[in-house]
Order: sequence, then structure tokens, then C-alpha cells
Amino acid sequence: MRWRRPVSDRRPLAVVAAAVLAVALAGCGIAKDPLGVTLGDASSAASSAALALEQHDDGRLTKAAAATMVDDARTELATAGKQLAELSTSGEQTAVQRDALDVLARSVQHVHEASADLGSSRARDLIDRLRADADDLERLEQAAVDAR
Amino acid sequence: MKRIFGVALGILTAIGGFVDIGDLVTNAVVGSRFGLSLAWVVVVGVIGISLFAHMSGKVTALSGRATFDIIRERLGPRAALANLTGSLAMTLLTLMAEIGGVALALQLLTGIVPVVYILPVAVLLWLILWRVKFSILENVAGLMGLLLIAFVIALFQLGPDWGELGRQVAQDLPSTGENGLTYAFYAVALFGAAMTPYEVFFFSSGAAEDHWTSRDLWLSRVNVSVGFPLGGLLSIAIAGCAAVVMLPAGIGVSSLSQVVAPVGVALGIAGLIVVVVGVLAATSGAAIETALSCGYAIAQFAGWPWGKRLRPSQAPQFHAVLLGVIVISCLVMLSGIDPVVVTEFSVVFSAVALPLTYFPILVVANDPQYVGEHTNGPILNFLAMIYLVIVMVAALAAVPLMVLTKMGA
Repeated sequence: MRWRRPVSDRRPLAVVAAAVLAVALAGCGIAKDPLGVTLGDASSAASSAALALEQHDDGRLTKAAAATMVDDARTELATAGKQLAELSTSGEQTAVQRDALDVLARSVQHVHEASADLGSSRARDLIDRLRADADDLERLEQAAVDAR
Repeated sequence: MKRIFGVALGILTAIGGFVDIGDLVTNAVVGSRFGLSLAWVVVVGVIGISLFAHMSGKVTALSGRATFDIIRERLGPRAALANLTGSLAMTLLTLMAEIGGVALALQLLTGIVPVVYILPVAVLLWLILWRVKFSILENVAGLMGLLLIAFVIALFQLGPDWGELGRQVAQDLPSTGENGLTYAFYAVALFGAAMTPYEVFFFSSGAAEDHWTSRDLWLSRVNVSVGFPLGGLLSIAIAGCAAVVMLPAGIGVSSLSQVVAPVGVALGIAGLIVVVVGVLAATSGAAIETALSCGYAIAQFAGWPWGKRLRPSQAPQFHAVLLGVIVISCLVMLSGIDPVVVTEFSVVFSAVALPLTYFPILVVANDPQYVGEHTNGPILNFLAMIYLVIVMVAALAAVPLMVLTKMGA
């Protein structure tokens, strides 16, 4: 028997099924807080830059690979900074946002320095600073979730 | 000797197809956020792609015609057009991502920004497709892509807590602040990456390029049972490396540089260079496959002469399509769009297109007119039906999940 095209149009059925599935899936969890997500991304980027510097300093990453990783981190931090500045917050989250903007500006500065001084004697110092930035951003991420 | 080389077709589709930019990025992202808790999706994907690629190879070997060619005849122009539209859109998006992936790999080797490489890569891709024989393409790309085994070696060298990795495999949601929606989104994305539609069409058309006959059915079985599981193993190793290095460091992978960094951590600069060359080969191989798949699909739908074995003067439309899709992909990537973002969209929308690809293959593989007495047995059909349900669920869930999670944020 040959397969035939269905007589009735089943597109509405597919749309309804997709909607039902989306609602069911929405029950699996709660959408994440945008402030927390942005800070999580920024913390990840700072940690990534620190890892790149450390591995390059240990002779385990080429300069090209480390520079690419630091550059990617710089882009991600810049994006996070832009998103953070545009976020509309209220209550305790506003204080978290303000603190986060300060930490983020510091992190961007450290990543810029890391990019310029890759392989210099300052690497260890910058690694420590970037790790501290990542810790601060992670702490603020938790604060943002608590303040929600 | 010819038969041994024939196995390389499976290896090529496994490395260049199964492990392409989509798998590299998606597996590393998942590993850095969920550990190995989504490894089961890779296993489900490997079994699924093996089942349908085998059916596709069988149809070609027994009928002497590529699957898409038959789909148009068997299901009619309308169903074939739906199949063509869905598959072609996804394949074109994947081609863009692969060209971007090649440029990113070159950036990792040289430190020069990827946009500089887009045009030379596109020109080189066209020259390769125009001048190089199909057998050379499959063997070189397949063997070079095997360098990605560095991910497996790196995972062992990292000396992970295997008990912890085992616990991650057994658990569903990790306790790292991720929620069910994001978990479901990445399950669908990983499934879409594993069962990318172009893989089966390339497998089928490649078999026709290699002039498979009924005597080559064993080759189809070997290719899918060796090649695809190898791709799946590499995928899990990529996720494992990210789970061991990036997850504990609080780094969510978002770039190709972070995908390969764990190999540098484990094996040093030599290992890093090997794996980046492997990434270069896998993305180049996949770019070749996706460009050819676009040409195959359109030419087979339109009834034009097609195939790498035919010179441009013998198959002008086919070669014009190859050039056209490369030009389009090149222009899009030159706009400065992030290749990783293109990759993320390509794997999610691949999931949407899955039913359009796999349902027609099942119909054709059960038609004695094309496969004679070798129609699917009841067990294969039962498994295929289960997979059709899975691909339908993945297709329906993909876009709602993408919206609800804001692309898995």
C-alpha cells in the first residue's frame, strides 16, 4: 500500500500539540532570572580568561589559542556588561545590579590587560585578579537569585 | 582493497557528519553545564542515525538510486518538496556553521580573527569540490578527522573521578543550578546534532557515488555499526573533557576555544595542535558533505544529472548549486555573525526537520519495488516507529523550548 497524503490539514493539530508540550515542559522548571544568567555568564568568562592565562603560563596552550580564549572572554564580558546595563531591576536586585556593574567593569579591565600582557611576568597576578572577579560575580549571581 | 576503503565512507560520515561543529560545540556546552547526565541522548542518537542510515544505504545498494531520488518518485512532488525544503534549509545552515568552524579552527592555530579566513575557505572548498575525486575526499577527511581521538586520550589523561562521571551518567538533572527546561532544551539540541538530516542523504548519495550494489549491503552494516558509534564515542569524550575541566571551574562553554582547551590541559601543546587539526578536518569534511548534500538534494529532486563523478560540463546544474550554496554561506558568514550562534540554531532547527527526513526513508525502505525481498523486518520497523515518535516529540518541543529557555541560557 502506498503512503498517501492525509486528506485533512493537520497543521492546527501540530500547533496545539506543540503548545501543550511547551506547557507540559514549562512545568519541569522555572525560567531563569535574567540578572542571574547575565552574572553567571560574566563569571564564566572571567574564569575562562584566568584558565587561558594559567595554561599558557604553564606551557599547555599556544599563544594563539590562549589569545583566542581571552578574546572570546572579553567579548562575552562586554556582552554581559551591555545586557546588565540594559536590565530593568527593582528592589534589592537594583543594588546587586549596581555592584555587579562595578565588578564587571573591573573584570573587563583585567581581561584587557591579560590580552595585552599575555606571556608577561604579570600573568600570575592577573590570574589571581580574574579568579577574584569570577568569585565576586558568582557571589552576586547568588545574591541576585536570593533578591528575586 | 576497494572494500576496505569503502569503510572510510562510514568513518567520514561519522567524523565529518556525526562529529561536526554542531557536535563539538553542543557536547562541550552540555558537558560544562550538565556533566555527563545527557550522555544517554548521544546513545539514543547514535542508534537512531545508525538505523536510518542503514535503511538509506540499503535502498541505494539495492535500487542503485539515492534515497531522495526515490522519495520524489514514491511519495510524489509535494511530499518530496516538503522533505527538500526542510532538509535543504537545515543543511545550508549547517554548511554556514561548518565554514565558520573551519575559520575558528584556523584562528586557534594562528591567532588571526576568523572573518579573515571565510573567503579563502569558501574558495578552497569550491576548488576541492570541483577538482578533487570523491574517493580522495572521503579518505583524507575521514583519516584526518580521526585526530579527534585526542579527546578520548585527554579524558583518560585528565585522570577523572570515574565514579563521579558514572554518577553523572546515571542522574538526570545535575545540582548546578540548571533547571528542567534547560535540560530538555539541550537534550533536544544534542539529539538534533546527532541525527542531523544531511548525514543520511550524504550517506545514501555517497553510496551511489561509490556504485554500491546488493553485494555491498555488508558495507552499509559495517559503516553504520563502526563509523557512527565511533562518532558517538568521540561526542561523549568531548562532553567528558568539558565535564572534568570546565564544570568544576564554573566555566560554561560558549566558544570553540573552550571546547579544545581541556585537551591542552591534559596533553599540552602537542595534544592541543593535534586536536585543533582534527577539528579543522572534521569541520572541513562536514563542509564538503553539507555542500555536496545541498547539490545532491536539489539535483535529485529536479531530476538533473548529479554526482562528483560527473564533470561540470556533464552536470552543470549540480555544480552550479554547489557554487551557489558556497557563495550564500560565505556571504552570510562574512556579515560577522558568530559561527557558534549559527551552530546552535542549526542543531535546534535540525531537530524540527527530523520527521520530514526520516519518515520518507522508512516508507521507501519498506517498498519491495525498490528493495525487493530486503524490506525492513518487524524488529527494525518496530524500532524505527519508536524513533519516529521520538523525532516527532523532539521536533514539536524544539522551538517552544528554544523560546522558553532563550536558547538554553
